Amino acid sequence: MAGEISKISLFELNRILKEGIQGLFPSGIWVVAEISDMSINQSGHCYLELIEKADGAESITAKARATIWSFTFRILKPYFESVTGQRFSAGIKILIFVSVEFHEIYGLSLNVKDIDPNYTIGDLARRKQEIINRLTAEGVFELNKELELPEIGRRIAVISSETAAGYGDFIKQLKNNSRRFKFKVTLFNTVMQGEATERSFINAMEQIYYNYSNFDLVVIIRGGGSQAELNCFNNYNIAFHITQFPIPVFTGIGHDRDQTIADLVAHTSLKTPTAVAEYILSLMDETADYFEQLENQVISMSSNVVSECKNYLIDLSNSIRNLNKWQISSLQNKYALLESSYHQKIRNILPQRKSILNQLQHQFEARLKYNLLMHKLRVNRLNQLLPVTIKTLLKKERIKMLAADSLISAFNPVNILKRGYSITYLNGKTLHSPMQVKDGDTIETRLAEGCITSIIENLSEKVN
Amino acid sequence: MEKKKITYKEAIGEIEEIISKMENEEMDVDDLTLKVKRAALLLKFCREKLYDTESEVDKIIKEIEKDQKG
Repeated sequence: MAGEISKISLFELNRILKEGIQGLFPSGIWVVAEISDMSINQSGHCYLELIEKADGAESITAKARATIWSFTFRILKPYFESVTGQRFSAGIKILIFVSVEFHEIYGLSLNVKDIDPNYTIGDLARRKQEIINRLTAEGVFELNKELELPEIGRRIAVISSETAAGYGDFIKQLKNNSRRFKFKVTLFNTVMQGEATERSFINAMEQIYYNYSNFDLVVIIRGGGSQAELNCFNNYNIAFHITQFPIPVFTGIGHDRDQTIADLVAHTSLKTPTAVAEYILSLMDETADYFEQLENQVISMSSNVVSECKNYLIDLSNSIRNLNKWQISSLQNKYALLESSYHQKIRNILPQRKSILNQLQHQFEARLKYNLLMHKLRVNRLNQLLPVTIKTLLKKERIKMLAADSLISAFNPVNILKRGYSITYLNGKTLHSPMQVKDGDTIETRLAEGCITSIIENLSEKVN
Repeated sequence: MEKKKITYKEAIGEIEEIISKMENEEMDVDDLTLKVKRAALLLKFCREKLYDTESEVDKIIKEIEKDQKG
């Protein structure tokens, strides 16, 4: 018969389960799990929700509740956090020593007795490395680091928690600059612990991004928080956003040992907010130093050129003034040189010339003597010849004269008259022809010893 | 067409160029005067950028643009 179904009460069931379960791991068991949720009540007891996710996936494959009683938790938490440098909170994977309990009413629960922080360290390190690898593989790891620093980083977007002391320190340090730089700092408030961190961070970055042309730098700072809370900066999304940012990001989140991923991908990572402010100041100082150097160069060079021009003009006017003096003294020198060389030459030449002159003189005198001698000789000879010549000449002339004389004598009319001739005149004129006279004319006839006057009686025509 | 505003970096670059020209080339006095004037303007701009507020900078950028045209 479909008789009685075997049945027990719930309590019975649970009691059996309890015995069974508690018998499985009588002394406890080390379990690896991820904290998905955590709460602490007033008494200091910690209630955890533990899960396990499939590798890489988001789907949950196991879940359990766990408790840490306050007397344990009081010790366990600081111990864990000091060793790992990590906050004991949701999101981390832990290796815990638990006792498995089953309560009739509350069901399965794990009671945490102990924890091995090294597992978490290892796990965190592994996860961190995974994210780094992923960012590297995506080629974005260096992007922000490769950005050029602005020449002037005065407009700063700060992502911080307003309440954190870090922001105050940062502002104070910035104001404390000797060169009276004025910085324009805009605060973008975020949550820096717990689950809301990622979302709030990315919101802040997006806000900055919409106005990124109004900023020169982004600064992420956090001051005075515990080391344990740094894990939010190992978040992939936050790191990714930093790499993509178009302006340089500086971090000063106060890490003690390892840098977080945010530190690694940021353009520059510094230890503290104060250090960030100092770094920003040093950049400005560098720029300002270089600027002042250029300024001084321009000033000194232009004043150099001006004074060079001045000097040049002065030189010109001096050299014009000096030119005359110089010309004169140079001419004087030239003249003196010429004079002395002239004198020297004279001194040299004079004896020379004198001797030549002497020579010539001697020659001249000799020649003169010679000529005189020649003349004398000639004169002598002439002297000798002269009387003879004269005698000869005179003789010749005498002969000539005698000849002429006799000729003349012959022709002398007196002599002719003596010969018996006569000259007939008519009125004083000599008659050549009978035609010159007519009958009756009175003519005179001159004879050698006197004159006859006649009158013509008869003209005869016969003429021999 | 909106002309791109001169940046601090560009201004510094131009000043460096002027300095190097002053060191190397022979500048006549007129050229020098012009260059020094320009350098002074650029220096003023950079000084404002370094130490003061945007409003002053805008004023000087206008002066620089005027200077470039003229």
